[in-house]
Amino acid sequence: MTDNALQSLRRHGPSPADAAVRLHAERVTADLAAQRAKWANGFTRRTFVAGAAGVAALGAQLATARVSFAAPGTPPGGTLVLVSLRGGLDGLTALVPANDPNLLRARPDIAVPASRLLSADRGFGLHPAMQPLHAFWRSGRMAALPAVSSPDLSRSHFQATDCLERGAASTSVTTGWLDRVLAKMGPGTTFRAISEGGVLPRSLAGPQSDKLVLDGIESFRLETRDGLREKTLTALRALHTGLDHMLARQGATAVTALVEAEKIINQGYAPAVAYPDGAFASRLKDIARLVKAGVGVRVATVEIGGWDTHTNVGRVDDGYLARHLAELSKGLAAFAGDLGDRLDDVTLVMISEFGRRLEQNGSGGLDHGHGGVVLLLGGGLNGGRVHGRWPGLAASALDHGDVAGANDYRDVLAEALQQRFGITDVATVFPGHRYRRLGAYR
Amino acid sequence: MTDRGSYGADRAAERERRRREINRYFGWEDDEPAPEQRPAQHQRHAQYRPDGQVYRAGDAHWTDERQTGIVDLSDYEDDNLPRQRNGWRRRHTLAALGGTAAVVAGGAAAARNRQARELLEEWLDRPPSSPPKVDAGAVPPRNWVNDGAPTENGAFPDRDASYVEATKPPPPTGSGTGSGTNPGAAAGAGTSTGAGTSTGGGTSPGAGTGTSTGTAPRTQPPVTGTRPTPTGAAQAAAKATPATTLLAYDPAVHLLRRAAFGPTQQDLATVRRTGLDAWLEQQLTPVTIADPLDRALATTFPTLAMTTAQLRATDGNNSIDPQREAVLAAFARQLWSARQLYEVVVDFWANHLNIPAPFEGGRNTYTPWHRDVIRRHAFGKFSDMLIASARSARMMTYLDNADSRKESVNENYGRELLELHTVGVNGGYTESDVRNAAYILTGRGVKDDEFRYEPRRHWTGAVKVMGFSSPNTTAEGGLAVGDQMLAYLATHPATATNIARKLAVRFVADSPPAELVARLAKTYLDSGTAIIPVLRTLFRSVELWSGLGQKIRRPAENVAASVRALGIPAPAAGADLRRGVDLLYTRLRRISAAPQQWVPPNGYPDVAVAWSSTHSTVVLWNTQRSLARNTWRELRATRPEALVSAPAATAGGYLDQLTTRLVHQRLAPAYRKALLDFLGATDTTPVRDATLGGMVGDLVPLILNSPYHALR
Repeated sequence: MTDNALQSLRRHGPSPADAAVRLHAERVTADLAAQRAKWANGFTRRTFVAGAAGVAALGAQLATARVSFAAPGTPPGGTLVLVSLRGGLDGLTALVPANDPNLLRARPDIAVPASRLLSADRGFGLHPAMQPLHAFWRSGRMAALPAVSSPDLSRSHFQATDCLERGAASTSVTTGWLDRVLAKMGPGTTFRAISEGGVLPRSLAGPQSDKLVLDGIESFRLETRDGLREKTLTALRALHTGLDHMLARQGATAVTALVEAEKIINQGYAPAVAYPDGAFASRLKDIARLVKAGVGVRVATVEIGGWDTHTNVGRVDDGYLARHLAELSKGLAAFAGDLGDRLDDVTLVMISEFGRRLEQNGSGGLDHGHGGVVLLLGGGLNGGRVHGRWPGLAASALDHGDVAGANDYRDVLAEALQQRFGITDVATVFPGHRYRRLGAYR
Repeated sequence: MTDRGSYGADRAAERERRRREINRYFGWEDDEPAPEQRPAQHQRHAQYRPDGQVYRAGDAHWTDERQTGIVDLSDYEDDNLPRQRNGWRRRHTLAALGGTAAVVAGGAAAARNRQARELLEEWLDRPPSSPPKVDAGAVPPRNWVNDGAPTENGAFPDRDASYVEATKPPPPTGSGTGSGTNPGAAAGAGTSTGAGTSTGGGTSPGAGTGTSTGTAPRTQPPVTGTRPTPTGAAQAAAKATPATTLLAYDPAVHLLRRAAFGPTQQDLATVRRTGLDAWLEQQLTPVTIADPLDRALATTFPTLAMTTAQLRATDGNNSIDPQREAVLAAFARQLWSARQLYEVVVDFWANHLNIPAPFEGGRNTYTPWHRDVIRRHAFGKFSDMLIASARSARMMTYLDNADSRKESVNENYGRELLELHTVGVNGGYTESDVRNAAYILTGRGVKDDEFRYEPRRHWTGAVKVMGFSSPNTTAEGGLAVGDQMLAYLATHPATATNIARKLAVRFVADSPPAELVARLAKTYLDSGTAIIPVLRTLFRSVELWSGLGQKIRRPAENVAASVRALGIPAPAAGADLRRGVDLLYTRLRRISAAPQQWVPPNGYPDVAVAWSSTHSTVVLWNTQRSLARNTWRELRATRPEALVSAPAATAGGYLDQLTTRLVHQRLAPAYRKALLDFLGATDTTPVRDATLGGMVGDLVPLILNSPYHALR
C-alpha cells in the first residue's frame, strides 16, 4: 500500500484496519440506500410481504439491508449491554437493607451483617464481594434499584424469563423487547446486535434481521488453513452469487459477516486491564473489544448463570453467593476499566428473572421470590444512588413472603431507552405498560 | 366461489374468509370476529393469555457453564410452585427459539405494524384473479422453483407459495381442510418469487386459486399423477420440463436425497445396480436389510433396550443419561443405518408427534417413547401409533395429561391431539371438540414413570368430538372410549390430508401440489392408515420426481448428508461411536438444530424459509469443513485426494470429477470458474498429482459449502 493510500485511510479511522472496516461499511450503506430507493418505487408487493408474511424469506433479503452503518437520524446513545443473571439473583444479598430487623430475623444464618457492607445509599449497602465495583459506584458510574419486578412475573424461571424478555405481560407479544428496540434504532452494521454465549436470547427474538450470536469474536471465523481464508471467502461469495434463492442470500450475508469479523480479529486485542478467568469475563471482554473497535454495536447481550441458590447460600466471607458475586463484580469491573472513557457510551443493565424469598429455607438456601435488584453501570446515570421505591420487609409489605415488586422492570429499561437512546416512544417497546420515570438516568 | 364472475356477489364472504385465514395462520387475535363462529385458535389465545407460561429452547440459558452440553432442566424445576404449566403457546414459543423460529414468528409480528396491515387489507380486497403489483425490475426472474418461476407445463403452479398449496378451490364451507387460498400463500408471495410469479401468469397468492381452477380449467398437466412403478414416474418426470433448479436430474441421486439422508457411494452403486424399484422395495421391508449398526448401538448405548423400570433403577447415576443416548442413537442411525428410508420416516413421525429430548421429566420415559411408539409403528399404521402415543407416559407428562382429572381438566393434550397430531389446525374442530377430547382423555396418567389409567380421575358423561360420540358412562370404560376416539380421529379425512400434506412437504416440495396431497390422503384412508401404501403412492407420483431441488436440507440433514457424501464410516462401537455422534450433535445444538431439540410439540419446520441464520450458516460450513478435513479422530472421511480414483489430466476435468463425486454433477460455469480461480488454475491446467499440490483438501469443503449440497 502506498503512503498516500495509507494517509487517506488514516483519515477514516485510528488504524488502517479500523479505517478499512469503516470504509467498507460506508460503501454498504450507500449500496443499500440505492437499493432501498429502488424498492421504494411502486414496490407494494415486497413491502406487503415484509410486513405480512415475509416470514424468513424476507428476513433473508433484508438481512443485508440492515447490514450497514446507521442512517442519519437514528437515536444516539452508544451501546446497550444487557447482562442477564440467570436463575434468580437474591437482591437482598447484593443490595442489602442494612440492619433491617426483618431481614436478620428471616435469615439468621445468611444475612449479610451491616458492619461488612460497602456504603451505598438510603440505608442500603453493597455486598463486600462487590468491592471491585465500588469505585464505579462512588464515581457515579453505577446505580441500583431494589424491589424490581412486575405483576406479570411469576416465580417460575420459565414464565418469568419469558415474560421479562418479551417485555410484556400478554403472550400476544411474541418478539423480544430488544428486537423492538432494534427496530426503533434503525439500520446498523453487521455487529449492531450481538449476543455473546452461543445462543440467541429470548429478548432478541424477532423479525429484525440476523443478530450475530458469538461465542467470542475469535471463534466467528471460517475454519481454513492458514493463508487460505481470504481465497476461501472469495470462492464462497462466488458460490452464493447469481442464484435467487434464500440459500444464496444467506450465504452472502454470512461471508460479509465473516469478512468483517476477520478484520476485527486481525487487529488483535490488548485490553486496557486484565480480565479474570472464566466465560463471563471473556464474553465481556469481547463486547468491550467490539465497542472499542467502533463497529457499531448497538445492543449486546451476555449472561451469567448460577444464581438459583436453593441451597447453601453461604456466609458473607466464603459462601457460594459471595464467591459468585465476586466473579460477577470482577468481570464487570474489568469491563468498565477496559472501556475507560468509553464507559460513558455504554448503558449496562443487569437484571434477573426474579429475586428470592425473604426467609431462608431449611437448606440454608433461598427459594424463588419476587422483587429483585437491578444494577446499572455506565454513563448518564444519577450514579452512586439507590433509586425507586422501597416497600421494606415488614410482613405487610411482602408479596406472598417475598420482596414486593415496587418498581417495574420496564420502567428501568424504558428510562434507559428514553434518556440514553432518545427512544421516546417507549410504549411500542413495552406495549400495554404505562411508563413511570424512576430517575436513575439523567 | 373463486370464479371471477361470482366474485362480486361473494366479495364480502371471500374477504372475511381470507382475513380469517390470515389470522388463523399467524395466530393473530381476530379483531373483528365473524358473528357466528370464531375459529378455535382465537379462543385459544384468549384462554391462554392469563396464565401464559412458556418454555423455551433457550433453556441453555440457565447453564452458563454447560453452554454446549445437554441441559437437564430438572435442576430448574419450579419447586416453589404447583405445576401450573398449562399448555404450549406454540406460536409464542416459536419466537423463543432463537434464529430460525424467531424469523418465522417475526414475520407474524412484523405484520402487526400498521403499514403491513394496510397492505394486507389491500390484498384482502383484491379480486382473486387480478394480478398483483409486481415490480419486475426489483428481482430478476430466476430459475428457482420455490423462489421463482413456475414451469411452463404448470407442474407446480403454486410453487411460488412457500408454505402451502394454493391451487385447489376451497371447499364450499369456510372451514376447509387446508387447501384453498391460504395465508401461507401470502408468505410465499413475499419470497423473491415475486418476479417468478409475474412470469407465471400473474397469479397472486389469492389469485392462484382463480387462475388455476377458475372459469377456464386447464387440461391436466402432464407431469402429475401416478405411474405403475417409481421408475415409470421418474421417467415421466424426466420427459416433462424439469423443475428449474441448480441440480441436475439423476433419478438415483434424487431418490437418495429424498428416501435417505443423502447418497453414499455404496447406496448409489446399489441403486444403479438394482434399479430404483428394487431398492425402494427393499427399503420398504427393512427387516430384510441386515444392519450392523444395530449391534454397535446396543453396545454403545446400553440404555436403548431398557424398560422404564430398568431405567428407573439407574436413576441417580449421573453418568447415565438415557435421553441423550436415545437421541444420539437416533442420529447415528440417520448417518449410518442401512435402513435409510425407515430412518427418514422415523424422523418424520418423531417430528409429527414431537417430544423434545433431553427434556425435563423425560429421563426414564423418553427411551420407551421413541422405541415403542415412534420406531415400532413408523412403518405400521398411524392409528396404532396414535393409540400407543396416548398410552405413553412421556406424552402424558409432556402435554400435561398426567395433571388432568375430572375435577380440573387440562386441555393441553386434547388440543394438540386435534391441532397437531390428527385433523390439523384447519381440520374443522371447535373449542367444544377440544374440551370433549380432553374430557375423554382424563384418567390417562402416570405412576412411577409408567402409563397408568386411573378410572377415578376419568370424567364420565356423554361426549362428542367432531363426528365421534359416546355415552362414556363408566369410569372403567374411559380408556376404551379414548381408544375409540383416537381410532376415529386417525381415520378422519382431515387427518389424512394433514398427514399427506406433511409427507408431501417432507418428500416433495415446500408447497406441494394439492393433487398430490389428495392422492396421498386417499391412499392413507383406503389403506386404513397404513403408511407403507402411502409411501408407495408417493414414490410412484411424478411430482416427487419432478420436485428436484425443491427442498433444502435442514441443518441436521445437511450434516448427515455431508458425512455420507464424504464416505465417513460409523466409528467403532463404544467410546468412538459415542463421541463421533456427540461431536456432530453438539455442533448442531449450538445452532438449536440438533435432533429432538425443538421444544414445542409441532416439530421442526420443514420449509426453507424457516432456516435462515448467519450464525447457523457459519457453524454448518465449519462443521462440513471439519469433516472434510478429517479434523476428528472418530470421524474419518475418505482422504480428499482419494475421493476420485483416477484423476483427470486437467484441473477442469478433475474438478468435474470431484463435484460429481460429492454433489453428483458438474457445476454451472460461473461456479466452476470460482473453484478453478480458488485453485489458481484454469480449465486446462495440468494436474500433476491428486492432491493438487495440497489444495484438494481445501477445495472439497467448498463444494460441500455450496448450494449444490444444501439443496435436495
